[in-house]
Amino acid sequence: MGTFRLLEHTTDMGIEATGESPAQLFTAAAEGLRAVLSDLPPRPCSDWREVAVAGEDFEELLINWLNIILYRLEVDGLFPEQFRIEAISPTHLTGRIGGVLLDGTIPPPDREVKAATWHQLEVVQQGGRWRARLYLDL
Amino acid sequence: MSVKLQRIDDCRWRIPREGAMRTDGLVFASETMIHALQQEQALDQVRNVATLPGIVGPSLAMPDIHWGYGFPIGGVAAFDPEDGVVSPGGVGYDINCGVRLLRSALDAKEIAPHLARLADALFRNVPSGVGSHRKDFKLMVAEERRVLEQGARWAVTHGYGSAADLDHIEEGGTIAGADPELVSDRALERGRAQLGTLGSGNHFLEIQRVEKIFDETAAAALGLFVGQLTVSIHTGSRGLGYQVCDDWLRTMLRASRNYGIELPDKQLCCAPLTSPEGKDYLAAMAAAANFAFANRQLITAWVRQSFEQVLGKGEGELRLSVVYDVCHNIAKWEEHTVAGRQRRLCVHRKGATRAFPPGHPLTPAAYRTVGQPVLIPGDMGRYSFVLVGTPGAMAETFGSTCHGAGRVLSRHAAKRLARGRNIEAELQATGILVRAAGRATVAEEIPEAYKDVAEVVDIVARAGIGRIVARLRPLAVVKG
Repeated sequence: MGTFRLLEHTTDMGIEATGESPAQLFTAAAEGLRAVLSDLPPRPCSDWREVAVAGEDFEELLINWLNIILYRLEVDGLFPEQFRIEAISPTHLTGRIGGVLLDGTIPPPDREVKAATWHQLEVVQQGGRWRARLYLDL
Repeated sequence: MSVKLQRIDDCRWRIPREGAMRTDGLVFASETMIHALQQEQALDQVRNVATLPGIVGPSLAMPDIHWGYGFPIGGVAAFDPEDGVVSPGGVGYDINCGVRLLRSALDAKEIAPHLARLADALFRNVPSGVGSHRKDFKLMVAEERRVLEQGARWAVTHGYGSAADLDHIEEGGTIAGADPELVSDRALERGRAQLGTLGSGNHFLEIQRVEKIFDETAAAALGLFVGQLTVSIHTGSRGLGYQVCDDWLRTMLRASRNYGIELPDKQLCCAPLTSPEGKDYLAAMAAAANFAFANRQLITAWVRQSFEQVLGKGEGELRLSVVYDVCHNIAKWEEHTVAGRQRRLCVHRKGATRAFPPGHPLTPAAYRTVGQPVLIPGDMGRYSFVLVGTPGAMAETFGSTCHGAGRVLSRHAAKRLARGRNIEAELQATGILVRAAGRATVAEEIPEAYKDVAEVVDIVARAGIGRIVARLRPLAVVKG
């Protein structure tokens, strides 16, 4: 089971995520991003988008994964609620983002996240668990 | 890690060169500010910037310095064209985030009975908050590319403002050398629905009253007088800029490796200014910066429209004209004198403002005798300042000064402080109306979340890197 906690930053916000596998880790990090975007409790998904991202290593993959969630939010209006990682390697991820479409009838996000940054970015495996730390630009 | 600091005087601190640093750090701050900074990582970031190849002069930090990512917010660094680098982390995601100030022919007191309706009109006409946009404005792909090339000039050509506006924007509202072909489809897609939108977070639109004039001559040149109604616009390049930065960080990480540049923080990834990657990033960054200029120009048109709708007066009576428009997040080629020698340098300003002195050829003709206007927003409960650039800034900070108040509280800490309070009612009790798309934004942007901007500009003035001209008091604030 993956978990996350939000990290304090003077201007922005950070996420520390953990999981027993890379898939759990990436799911937990995405859930951390969702918690930054809105203070509302999770809502049932009405729409899903398939995504595929690539990177040179788990660190780049994590940044690209979180930033494609933000891209889908901005371009499709898909507010992310649930995440399914279907396949993951250090260089590739395929999965699905479930969410609700921002059609004017549901509250918009509480915060605009510009991007997941590379500042102090870390993805490590320690004692059988995976841990990641990153900061978001708000 | 604690950072070694040497006090130079009551507003300057040196971080002496050591380890991988190629130069000193120079921080403009009061003793109180320095104590606060030592609790976070901003000073480490000043030191990190000092390790970058080809840095000229010290790694600088303005008095509103705080913890950023890569560069500190409030960071300024200049690089040699041959040995130096350009770093997207020295510009930031919100490329050409900036501030524009409009003056008017209106007396703020006379407008008081209409203020609530004006705030409502601005909130209605200028899209704010995440995901909002005007239904009557649609940008096609081919047009978007022209926006990226032409900046504010594109907006003026399409009827959103006048040529006089362009004369009062940094770089005339168009950064030369922009190449839309270097902007990804994803960035174009993000930008298309966001041109003419304010955004969220610390971005705002504010109706203000000129509360105090500190320099009569400069104020007269800038067309400012006590009691006058002004409008400030703070926003940037929106999702297009964020995507350009994200795209180029990946390129720069590879470039840093290929060119053998050691990075103390990956967000500082960079490429030599002479390299294809460095040149291409500057051309893509210029395109995003132009998008931001066009964004503020469209918002200006809708501010004018709002005033006309509510007050029933025409442009001739309102005279809502641009005092100036400055970039906060940018890297630009500029001429500077270093050790008595004129040099062309690439100056990065990450949360810092250009502050060129009187007589500088890039200062608009109307302000040539007083210096380039510098617009320093505070928080939504206190005040903002108008300054002008000085010879001191040119000599010491590559013609740069601060850009705002700088946060002191994290968003969580601000929310904790706001819990149980009605911030809108508190502000209204002090004569400030707030219109906000989201309650979270108001709680996280409470005045206490920021340094007192008066302390910041006091350091600027004492250090001689800016001259205070006027103080503006908020009357109505629109937040995303």
